[in-house]
Amino acid sequence: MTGVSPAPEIRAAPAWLKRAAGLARAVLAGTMGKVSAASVGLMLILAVSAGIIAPYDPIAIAPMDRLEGPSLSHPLGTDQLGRDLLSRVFEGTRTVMEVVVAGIGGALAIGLTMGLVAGFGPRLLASALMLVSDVVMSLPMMLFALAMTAMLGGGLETVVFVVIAFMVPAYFRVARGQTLTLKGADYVAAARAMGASPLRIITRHLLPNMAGPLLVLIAMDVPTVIGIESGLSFLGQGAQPPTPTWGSILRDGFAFIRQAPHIVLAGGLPILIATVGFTFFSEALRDALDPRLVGKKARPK
Amino acid sequence: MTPLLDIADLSITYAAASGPVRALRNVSLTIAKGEVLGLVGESGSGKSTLASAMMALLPANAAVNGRLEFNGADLFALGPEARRRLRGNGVAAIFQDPFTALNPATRIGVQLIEFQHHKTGIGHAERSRRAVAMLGRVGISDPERRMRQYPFELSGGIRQRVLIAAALLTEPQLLIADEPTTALDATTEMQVVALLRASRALVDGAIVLVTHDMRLVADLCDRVAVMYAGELVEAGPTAEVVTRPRHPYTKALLACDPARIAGPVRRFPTIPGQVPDPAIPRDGCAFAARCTEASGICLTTPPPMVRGDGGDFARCHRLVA
Amino acid sequence: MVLEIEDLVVRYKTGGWAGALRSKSQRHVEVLAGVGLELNSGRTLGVVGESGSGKTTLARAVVGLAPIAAGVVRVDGMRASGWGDGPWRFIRRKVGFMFQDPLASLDPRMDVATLVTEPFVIHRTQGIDRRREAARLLDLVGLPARFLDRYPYQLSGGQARRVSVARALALKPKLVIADEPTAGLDLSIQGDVLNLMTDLQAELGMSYLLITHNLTVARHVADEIAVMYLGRIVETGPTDAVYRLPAHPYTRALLGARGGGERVVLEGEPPSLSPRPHGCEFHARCPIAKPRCQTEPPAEQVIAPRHRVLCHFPLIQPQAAGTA
Repeated sequence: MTGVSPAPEIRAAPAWLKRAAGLARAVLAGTMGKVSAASVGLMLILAVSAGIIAPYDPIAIAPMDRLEGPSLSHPLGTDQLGRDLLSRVFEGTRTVMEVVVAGIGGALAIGLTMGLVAGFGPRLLASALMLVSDVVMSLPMMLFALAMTAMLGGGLETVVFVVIAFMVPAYFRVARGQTLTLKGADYVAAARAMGASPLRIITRHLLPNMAGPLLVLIAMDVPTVIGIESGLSFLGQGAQPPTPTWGSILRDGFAFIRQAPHIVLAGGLPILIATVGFTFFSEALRDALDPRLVGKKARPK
Repeated sequence: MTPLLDIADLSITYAAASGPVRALRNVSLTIAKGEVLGLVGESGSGKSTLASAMMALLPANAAVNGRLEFNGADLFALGPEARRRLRGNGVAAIFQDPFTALNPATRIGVQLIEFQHHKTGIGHAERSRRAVAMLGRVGISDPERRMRQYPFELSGGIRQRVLIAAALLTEPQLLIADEPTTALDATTEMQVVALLRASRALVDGAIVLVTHDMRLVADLCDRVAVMYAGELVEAGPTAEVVTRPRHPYTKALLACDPARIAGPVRRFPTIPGQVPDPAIPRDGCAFAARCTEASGICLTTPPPMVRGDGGDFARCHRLVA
Repeated sequence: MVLEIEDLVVRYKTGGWAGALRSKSQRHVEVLAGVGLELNSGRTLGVVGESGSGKTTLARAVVGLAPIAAGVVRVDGMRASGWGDGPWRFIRRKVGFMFQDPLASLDPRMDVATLVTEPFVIHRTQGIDRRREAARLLDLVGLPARFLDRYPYQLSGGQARRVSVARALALKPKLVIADEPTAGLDLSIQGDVLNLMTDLQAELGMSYLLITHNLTVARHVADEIAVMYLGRIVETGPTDAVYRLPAHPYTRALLGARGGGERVVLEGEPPSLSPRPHGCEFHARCPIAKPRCQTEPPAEQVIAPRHRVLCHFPLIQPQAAGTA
């Protein structure tokens, strides 16, 4: 821009878009970032397009073709009921992602609200929330999950409930910690001094500055949720037949591991790729966010 | 007589990711035993780097050229073990922030006794006695009770006194005070200044006071060295430099001090421009771009040190007769 | 009258519920113990004091950022007290605030253009071309337009300070509160900020409430001075008069320290705030304290029409009652 003439200029791109682009660039800078982002991207694409690109109906039974190994017509083979494993894996990706989104989304919404309340609200309420959160965090996850499924019956809804219940404390703690820290920041005081309403302070000043740590937490939690869902499905408490998820495919494969080991692979491989991919992705994300918060460019004197 | 500290043509360059950063350029200075030297400069002047060099506390990525001799021994020729032994047993330092220089988890007394570790001949009881005596000498009342306190129980002024006591307990030959009063209130600062003045008698060596505050220097120092952009631009007896500054930067800096401006003014003098980037190589005088007296030669040739009648040196082309 | 403060008391709660079980006096820390001042249009009032004097709390209290227990703040006629948000919104619209650490007071996620025009958005000013206003404000403080798209981490200390001045001026305030505007700046560029503030005052006519511990700066820039000690204003008056002949022993000691006056070295440290000392807060360190100072809090005495002091034995004879 030259000078201060108020002639109409091209408006600069919105701030959040610039930041997102910068973040993407930082994450994709390293090899790990590229590879993990690729696998994450693949998962997401599959999740969205499963219904369209799956070659077969994932729950269609074809007893004639049962327990076939990988072939041209069935790249991952078929399971004990003749269902195409590739299609089941695609559909499973969608299901898992649904659980992830519902679970983490729910945990985030509840935990964030609780965190803001604890950060701003009366001390007594904050202490009570902390107490509840600590109790939930101390419960052993699998036992808690199994207890829940015993009480509420199996099924993916129960899994989502378990995930939310299990993960809320972490989001609560991060949100609360960030709220307390940022509450005392000078720029929050500056906003108040300018007359900003509490709502504006939360939406324009607190949430954007909390986004970083929360984003990293989300990315790191995805493998955990995949693990919970797969584990519960493997134990028969999660996805109920015929709903395919990687865990239930694994369960099916386990029974036929001698005759048809490819089923176990079909179930296990996606879990491995997804878990490792998301873990590395979250680390790349965390690294990309950290120095940016401090400011990489040296300050001119 | 051998000077206590002999710095000859010292240059220190940091290897940063974006290229070499020349923090100090050809600094030459001597400090005699028993004198108090003020090292004055603003941000980017290199005064902190020079103070760190005197303590042999430079980071690993610092490349050193030139010589720094402490009591005749080249500091940078010593191995790391010898240098470590030097600190706390020859060179002691007081820093700007009294709040973080003390271990918050240990009582004062324990730390003061620990600081005397180099005195191998005496036992714990004797060290404790010396610590209490020193606390008294720096003006802390009820020193025995203080010995049992934790740092967080003390106010800023008391903490700084404790640190001075700690430094003096090591019986240093060189005491470096890096902005010792910047973090303190005006009234506390007065007390600490009085204490530093009295400490001269307790330091059998020299004191180097690193500061940006010219008035502090006028109060406490025999000689002053003015630094700008990593170079020593003027040095001499305090009375001389402060009343008859010869380098344009020193003149401009003194003119900016609101305390030196007589009647109330509404417009303050400033030095327009910025300190040159230490990463960029330069040919002429560091101050040329901002100097009101600069001429052509100032931009192309580094100025020589010119000695004046009052015993001070200034690095400026305009002073060459 | 742009700013009037009457008997302002600010208390902070201390400790948790355990503190509530202790005696009532220890449940609160009284940081401001009854402060009053006046500031006229176009003038600069310097509030000087050391750490713990309450000067920053006073600044924040003017915009309702401190827990006011008693007393009144009146800005441009609008009166506010306690916590209710209504009158404060009006006041905050009229007051520009410059924080001590300019970088920390800028939201790191917002660019300069957004930052300096945020007041417009908060107060829903209609028909504003945000970017054009931002450019105008930057021009006012001497920053070129290329700074519009920079983020706080890309600014130097001096540049951040200018941005905070620009933001404070957005809504053309009647009063600007500057908390330590020269803190952390090199001596050779301190003048830049001060000159800028002076020029802007000449051009736009606002009043300044200048909070500083730097007595030499206050001397040059402030029309009137208020000296604070432990939550009270112990002396207030025209700058020249106070500097030449301080009436309060603390002022004299403070000026001796850094103001170029005679040297009086004060012993000891400021006393603890909880509980507050009886009598005059300064008596323990006062070189001229008498027994009365320990038990009886001093009343305000008038030295000259605008020169007041809080002391039993002021260094200058107060005017006889009736000639104030």
